[in-house]
Amino acid sequence: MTTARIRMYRHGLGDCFLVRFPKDDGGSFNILIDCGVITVAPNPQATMATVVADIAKECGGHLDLVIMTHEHWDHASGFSVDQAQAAFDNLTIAEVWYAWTEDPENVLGRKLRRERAAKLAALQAAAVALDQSAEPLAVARKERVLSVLQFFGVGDMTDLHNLGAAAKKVGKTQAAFEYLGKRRGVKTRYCYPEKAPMGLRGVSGVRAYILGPPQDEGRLKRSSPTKRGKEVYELASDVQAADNLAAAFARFGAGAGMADGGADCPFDAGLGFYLKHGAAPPEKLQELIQTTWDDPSAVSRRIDLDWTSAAETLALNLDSHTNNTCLVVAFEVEESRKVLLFAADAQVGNWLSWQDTSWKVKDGGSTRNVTGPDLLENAVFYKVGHHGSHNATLRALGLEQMTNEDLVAFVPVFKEQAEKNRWMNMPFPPLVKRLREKTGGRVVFSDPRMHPPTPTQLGSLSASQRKEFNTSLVVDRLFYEYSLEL
Amino acid sequence: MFSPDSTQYYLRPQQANVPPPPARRLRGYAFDPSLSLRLETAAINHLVFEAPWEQDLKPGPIGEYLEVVDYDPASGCWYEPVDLNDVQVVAQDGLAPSEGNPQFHQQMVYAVAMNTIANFEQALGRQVFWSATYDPHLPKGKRDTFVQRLRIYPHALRAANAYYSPNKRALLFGYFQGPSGMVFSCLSHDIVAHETTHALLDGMNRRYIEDNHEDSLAFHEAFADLVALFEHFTFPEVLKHQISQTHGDLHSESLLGELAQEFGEATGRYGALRNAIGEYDDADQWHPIKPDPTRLSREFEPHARGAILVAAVFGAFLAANSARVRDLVRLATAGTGVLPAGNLPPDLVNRLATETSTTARHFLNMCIQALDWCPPVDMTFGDYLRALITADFDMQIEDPNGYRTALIESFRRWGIVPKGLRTLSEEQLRWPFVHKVDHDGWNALTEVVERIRPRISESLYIRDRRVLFALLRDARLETHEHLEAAMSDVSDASQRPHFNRVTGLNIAPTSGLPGMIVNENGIARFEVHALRPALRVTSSRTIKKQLVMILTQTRNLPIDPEHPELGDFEFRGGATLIFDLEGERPSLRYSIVRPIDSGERLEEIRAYWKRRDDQGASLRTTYFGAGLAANLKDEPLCLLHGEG
Repeated sequence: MTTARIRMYRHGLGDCFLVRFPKDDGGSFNILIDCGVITVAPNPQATMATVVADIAKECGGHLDLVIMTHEHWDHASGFSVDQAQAAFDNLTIAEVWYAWTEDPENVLGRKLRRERAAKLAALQAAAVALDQSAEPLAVARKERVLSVLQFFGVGDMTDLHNLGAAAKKVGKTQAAFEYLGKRRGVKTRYCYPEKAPMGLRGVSGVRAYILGPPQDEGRLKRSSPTKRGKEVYELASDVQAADNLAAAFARFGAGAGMADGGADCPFDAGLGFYLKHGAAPPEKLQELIQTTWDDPSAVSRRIDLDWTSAAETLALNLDSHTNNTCLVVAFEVEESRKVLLFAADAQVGNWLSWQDTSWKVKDGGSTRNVTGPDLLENAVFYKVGHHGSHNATLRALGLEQMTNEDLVAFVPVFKEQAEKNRWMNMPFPPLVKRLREKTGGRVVFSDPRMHPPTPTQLGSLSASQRKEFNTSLVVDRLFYEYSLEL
Repeated sequence: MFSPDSTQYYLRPQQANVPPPPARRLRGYAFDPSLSLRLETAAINHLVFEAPWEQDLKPGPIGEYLEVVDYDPASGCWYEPVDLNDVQVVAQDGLAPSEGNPQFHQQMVYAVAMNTIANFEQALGRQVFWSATYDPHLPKGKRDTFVQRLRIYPHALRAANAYYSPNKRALLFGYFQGPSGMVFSCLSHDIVAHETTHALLDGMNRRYIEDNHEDSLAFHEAFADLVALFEHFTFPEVLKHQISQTHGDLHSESLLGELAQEFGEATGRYGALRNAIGEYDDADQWHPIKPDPTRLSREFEPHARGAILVAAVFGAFLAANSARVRDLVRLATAGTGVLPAGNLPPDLVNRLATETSTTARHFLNMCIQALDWCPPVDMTFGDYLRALITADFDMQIEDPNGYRTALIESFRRWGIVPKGLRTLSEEQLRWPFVHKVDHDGWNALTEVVERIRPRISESLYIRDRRVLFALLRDARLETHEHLEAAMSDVSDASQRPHFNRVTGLNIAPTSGLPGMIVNENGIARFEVHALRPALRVTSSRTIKKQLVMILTQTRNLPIDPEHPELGDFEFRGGATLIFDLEGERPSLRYSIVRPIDSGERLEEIRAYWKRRDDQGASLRTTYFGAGLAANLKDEPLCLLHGEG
């Protein structure tokens, strides 16, 4: 019998989990999964310092493993120099895990990172450009773009007025995310779902399976290429499309013409007329503009800003691609086969890929086959994806496959902070409802305004189950800790 | 193609002994530029469109129906407009197809959009209008203002998207960086025809864009795709090439199906609408998908659902066409019907192509014509089937080519069954003639039509769309006044139930229906949404004079009375009334009703909205939440096309 302890910090909208397995020698194997908080959270520096101090105290200054699921501020900010990097410097850390997408040797990973950088640059250009217009549509679009840029550490409006500062902020997310990978003496491992599950040093009988991200560009981007490979527009040229958009926003913001030569424009430079700079259009064009565009009764039919919706689409696209590259880990206890599932912020494409994964493992003398659905079926702990948003917990090929009667779900979410960021439906009510049904009410939210499960909510459990759950859950202002007999 | 309603053709007396040209010939891509790069399709990818001849076409082009405005806001620049009346251009069937020449892009969107407009006018037997703008500051009855031209922006967006903007009355086409250079959506025949159809449909009935049913947006998408699809098959050049390519294995059904799907795939997202037509097996062999009657109950996303309607209509087209060309194959094979190996004789290829093109034209006409026989609001696929069958019956009592039978069979196989019908026979499917019991009700209505008849008759001779618009707007006001007078006449109180049954309205002050908007005079507000006089030529060469009248009414109701935070929606009812204008008095032939007091329909729509709320829409909703409703209202088709 093994007892695992899972501590979910209640520091704000963001993920920070401390998972401890007992070592054979009586000590504990300490795993930290993410450590971050969203930019709109008050006093982030002090908050994260408190969290990391608690981690240090609980772990006796030593972490055996840190899992960095993905490069988003709300999962990595704690490692930033702005927040608690100094405190982490004082901890000994043995190993850090990243998804294969961060592996410098991986070709697809490099491509995805290049795309991410190009899209981020385009989004920053968009936010800066839109900020210069007072049109309500431009203002609304800018705010939407900003709300997604939050994930990359761009928080306040002042960041916008200076592209350099914004770029630095984005760089900070990356720096925080890469801190451990670059830190001397910390072993870095890039995790692939294709590889055999890993043991934890000094802990017998526990395996870590990597469920995702899949090495499949189509899945990561949620679009399935057709069988005959005819339709490849979207997959092939993300970087250039993003660059072209960035160039357009830069021009729009500066009110400039084609000083840059217009390499991003669809036609040869000589074919376009840039009238903002006083150039006289040819006669036929002048007449056309007078009768259509300049027609005072048809001003509402102009299209100055319609194209800028591309920035919103790009923001959503960047966000879901990044979330799909999340490192998803399942810990399995050999003897009981119970599973702890940490889904990070994985979205549809990542979830779907678990259905096709399988591993051969040796148990005692015999070999057995373990599949993704097996792991879901045996899950007794589920870290709910993406703060309980609707699109980060797959239904039929996900939650519905988690059929273990001991299932417990933890949701790291602060409703107030999510709403402050204009993110609606976090957590998504129908998902919460279904989680409660699946777990017999054993759903725990980090949100300080949401209480631990009430006796009524736990009403469908047997008396002994209820008692066991209540005694296993430690409630503290700073964290919830759940002890699991595995 | 030539539209007999081309205004300028009529307005301009022939100046010399030379009649005006029958059409303006313009070169363009039959599909899209990518097919020019493939050896097997390059030969058929260029063709000459025949747009209606517009004498006074201005640089743009700006004509009677369209204005192409080539501003590229992402590049911050304008492109010079093409002058299609330039003698050099006229003399060589327009500019040569070219991706790098913005003037050719303007020509292409103009040619395809005009072609689609001409197809609509031909099928509907009248001139088309774009959706009118509404100005609340004008006096009552004059608030709808005429929009003469649909605006087309060929380079409006820097994205893999294209959409019709109902507010701007404009088509916005995007371009984007593809793997091998820029991809322009305005150069795809499929996309231009599809978007133009959205605009035409919106011009006919603004309510069809309202999303009150799983079928609403799906219908909009599927219909636009069907128009684009059948337009392809009306070009015999394309068909000839493909038929001769098959080297004697004229299994024409799979050939046409595969062709249809390939067109869709070449243009990306439109492929989704054609996926229901067929699939490739492991050996890379195409075969048509077997219709699955249960699929309709599983697909709810507009494109996936629309694909079912596309497959059903297309399946009927294939079956009907194969019956139509069977005799030709027998003739060519000494009665065996078995074609020999090797190339087909060119004569046979030509004849097969011509026949197929004729079938395609008939289906295209049927699909468009049926719009006049559709209910005023909340249309379902089943309604569309009934409209198709009824419209075709009205035009042609016999069904010599079995088109209607083919349609019914195909829809049945796909499980599209109108609600409340016991059998799927043709007589059952046709909308019923207005029932005798409601005699009094329709008496009042024919009275009204009788009164506006002078105006309607006059309208049949007007060619100027602006004048026609004003005349029909006045006729709508007059109709409204007559109806209101008829209904507030106390002596007619006994007629009211009949009247309500025929019109789907309830304008009695005592109706007691919640959410009804009541005027100062105590009568519930209603709208004469459209009056459409039409002259249609039937198969027996007679001219049918018809009047389509659409009456609607609106109630504002909460989506869920117990959860007011979910918001309100507009519940609409009314009727599409079709009058025959022949004879002494006009007679009401069909009344296609969506009763405003139908509790059952109300519950269905509420359930639909709640279901959508539960599904939580998209990532967009999560992040951009509050702005969503406004955004959807502004550009409903932008999101549908961009992220669908």
